[in-house]
Amino acid sequence: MRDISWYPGGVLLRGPHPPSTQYLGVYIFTPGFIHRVDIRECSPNYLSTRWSYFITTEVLMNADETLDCKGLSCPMPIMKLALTMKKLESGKILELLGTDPGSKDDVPKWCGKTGNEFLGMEEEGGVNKFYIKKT
Amino acid sequence: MPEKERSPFGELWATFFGKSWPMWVGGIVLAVLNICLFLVKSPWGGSGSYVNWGQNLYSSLGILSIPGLHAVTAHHYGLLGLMTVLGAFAGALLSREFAIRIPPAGEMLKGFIGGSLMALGSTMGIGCTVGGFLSGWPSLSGGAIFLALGFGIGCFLALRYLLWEMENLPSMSMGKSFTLLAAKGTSGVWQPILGFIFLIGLFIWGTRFYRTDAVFTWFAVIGILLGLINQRSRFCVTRAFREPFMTGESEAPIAIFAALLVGLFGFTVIKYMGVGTATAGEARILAMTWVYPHFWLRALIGGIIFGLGMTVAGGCAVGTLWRTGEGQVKLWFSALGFLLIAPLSKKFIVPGFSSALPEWAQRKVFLPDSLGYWGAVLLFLVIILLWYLFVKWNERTGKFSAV
Repeated sequence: MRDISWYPGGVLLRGPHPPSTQYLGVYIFTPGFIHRVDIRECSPNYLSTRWSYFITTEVLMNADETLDCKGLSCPMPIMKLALTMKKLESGKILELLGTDPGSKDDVPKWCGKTGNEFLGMEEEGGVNKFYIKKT
Repeated sequence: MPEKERSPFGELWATFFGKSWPMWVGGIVLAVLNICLFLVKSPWGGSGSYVNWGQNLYSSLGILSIPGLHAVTAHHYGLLGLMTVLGAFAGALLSREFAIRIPPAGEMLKGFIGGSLMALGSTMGIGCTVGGFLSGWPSLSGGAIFLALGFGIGCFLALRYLLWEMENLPSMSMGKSFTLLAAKGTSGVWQPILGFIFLIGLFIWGTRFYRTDAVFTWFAVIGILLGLINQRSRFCVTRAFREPFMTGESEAPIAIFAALLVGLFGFTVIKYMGVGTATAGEARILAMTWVYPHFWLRALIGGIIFGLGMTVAGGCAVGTLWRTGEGQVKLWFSALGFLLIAPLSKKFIVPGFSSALPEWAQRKVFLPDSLGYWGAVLLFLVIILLWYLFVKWNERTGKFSAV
């Protein structure tokens, strides 16, 4: 965690992020879990001073299933994502591991188009981790 | 909330290398570069690079003897392709997107098969998605329309195969994969630093090495930019054909429409005005540039084979070039298949194929000859409009999209 600011009701964290965007998360801590209340994406050069609080909380880091697409290039990650999501139960969270730079744009777009919820993305050791929730 | 102020250079980096460019922006810039290339000598094409590379390989191994063969750095398109790979490499480094990505074995095999099919399709049909289509339509070649139709058919069939394979042969795309030399966290800054030095070095090499030959100098410089911009915008003609049948998204087709429209405009100006020519004979030769003898069946057959290959490989001739620079090993195998098979196809398969086809199936058709310049341009505009309407309708209804 790079930046921690304390607020009543939660903590503002600026976590690991890809070079181009910054993901802000307002997290509420309860024993054993981190619930994400809100995620907003900001451009690198300004910081939003307003954020809205959504009621839903998801346990972000505990994915129900993992799909390994490391090493696969376009179009395979999206095709595999679509196939896996078809079989996933509603409400479950899928963790997609990928190395194709194109996926950074493709995955959120696919989620938006199919109505599934894109929870966020992390980069770790050269591998992109995407979190998608089936609606 | 305090925010670290970016330096002007930091902002410059963030604008160009922080995230991918919109694909339509890439399309427009690439079309402009294509026009410049045409003004220098002749339009952009992808498959010619592989033919030259393969011929050089076979010649140096003593397997084939090719009269009039030029070394890679002494062949305009051999050089253009090489600089495209290196420019994409620089672009990937600068945006921290370079990594040697080794996929599962089944994927590498598909890469090789795809590249080989593309080699067959581009030599038999004459032209790839760039040379035969992105340059071919602006060149007002009638055969290029059938080439594109072939790409669409081949792409659709290959996509059906990939969907079938994912369900029934999942092992082809599963297995151990390796990612090497990725940019990790703050230590990954080695990539942009190396990328910057490499890019400067490329421009210096390109301009100094060819300082006595203006045409080669421009091919080198434009090649670097083609690679860089392709990588930054992830411009992909394969995707434009494939996306309506996959996710139904219209971003990629619209990007190539943008490239086609700009190209159409610029190429028509050049051909209409006979830019750089002094006599009617020279003007005619200029007008016939990139109009191949493939109208209409030859283009259709070659296009279908190429369409199959590009979809299986995950990139067309130029797509293979810039993804090779980005470190995608599946596309290294595509490039390998392409350059190994292209010279063999050209020498052993194409002559037989061409003589088996009747004369009416492989004519050079320059559309302004029968429709006039404005008629030819209008024809392409109408085709693009109809294609756009189909893409938008499909995006809304999802009729043809599989995922």
